[in-house]
Amino acid sequence: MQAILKAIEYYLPPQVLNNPQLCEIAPNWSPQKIQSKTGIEERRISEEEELSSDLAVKAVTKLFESGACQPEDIDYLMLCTQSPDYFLPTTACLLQHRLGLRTSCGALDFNLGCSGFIYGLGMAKGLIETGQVKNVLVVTAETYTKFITPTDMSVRTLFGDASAATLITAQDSHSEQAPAIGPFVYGTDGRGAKNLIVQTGGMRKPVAGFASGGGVEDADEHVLVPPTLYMNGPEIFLFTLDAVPDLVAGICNRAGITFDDVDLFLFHQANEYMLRHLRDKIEIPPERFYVSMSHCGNTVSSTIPIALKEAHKAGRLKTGDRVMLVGFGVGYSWGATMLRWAMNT
Amino acid sequence: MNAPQFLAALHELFDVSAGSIHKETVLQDIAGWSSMTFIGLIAMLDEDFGVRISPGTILRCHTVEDLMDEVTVELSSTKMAA
Repeated sequence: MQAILKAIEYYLPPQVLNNPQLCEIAPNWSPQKIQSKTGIEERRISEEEELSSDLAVKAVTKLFESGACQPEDIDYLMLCTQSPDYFLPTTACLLQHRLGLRTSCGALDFNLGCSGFIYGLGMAKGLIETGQVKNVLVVTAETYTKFITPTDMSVRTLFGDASAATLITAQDSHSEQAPAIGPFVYGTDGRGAKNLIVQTGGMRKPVAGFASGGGVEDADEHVLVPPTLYMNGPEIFLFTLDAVPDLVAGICNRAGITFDDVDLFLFHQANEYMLRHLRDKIEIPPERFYVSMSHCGNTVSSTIPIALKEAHKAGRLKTGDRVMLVGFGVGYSWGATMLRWAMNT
Repeated sequence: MNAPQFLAALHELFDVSAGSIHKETVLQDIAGWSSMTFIGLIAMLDEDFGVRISPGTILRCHTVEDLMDEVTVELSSTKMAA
């Protein structure tokens, strides 16, 4: 028995933030400059009352409506999010009920960002290939924009909200073929934690201070109100220059393949400028390097399933194609895997 | 690495007219310095000169010449390691 990726659907909230709108906030920028430096034309922004769980329900409902599976088929639901509804209970438990999944279904949240989809695939494969379950929903959902200060262009130009729902299912294996999902390479370096962080709102700097009007200050006495996303873009970029080439070499080595064996390279869609630099540095042929983020921006853990879906819709993937997936970012955390494309609808 | 090559790369990165950046130019006074060109500078140093200079080191460089010195140091330590 082996795990295969059977279906993907994704959902973007309707509210649009485009480059001309951003330039109204920051008049020293131009729409062309934002486009050329990020590869993004618009991002989608969740409404105030629209949470990660709401986006996830929409994405999974699309999956059910597509006919790929029905609620009663799901044995296990995992939700990757860093913007959950509550500290507790687990948002995946709320989703089990809202989606009408069986009460005999397992459910958990896991907290990862840009590497999350790779880790989700790894866990789903483990659950299926050890015979524990047959159908796993890997759901990624983020509302990072709720953490973003409206005037902070370094992050507002990049991030958008989204959810993706991916069905991983058990299939009889054929030993002569490469695995449908895998092998995997993982990595972690917590020294980078400070470079992409929401400092307040957790136990270390609780938000209670805001209610009393106190605010919370960081080491440089910047008042951080309310929980706010901080990104040191140059440090993150330097991290990717260090980590990603080794990660790509690592997965090739683990899988026993060369670049010639890879039909499509699909990286976490962080920002197109950075992706092009990485592509050229690693010497990946441009025609096999897929980018799809202009319509939604950096959606954190959803970028890889969204780009996979778009590559499929655009006819860039056919059954049996080998796809390299590479995720990297907040943590720092990274991971890579190989897919043998099995989605045919 | 030579100075004209380094200055030419900076002119191209910041898209400024020839002769507007000198060795004495204060790095963060270059027209167009922003979070995005900062990332572009790291990319340029990696791509054109094969060195990875940390953002903290770049920020400690006052002038273009200070940055050139850092690149030279990095290049010589890379050579020694090789």
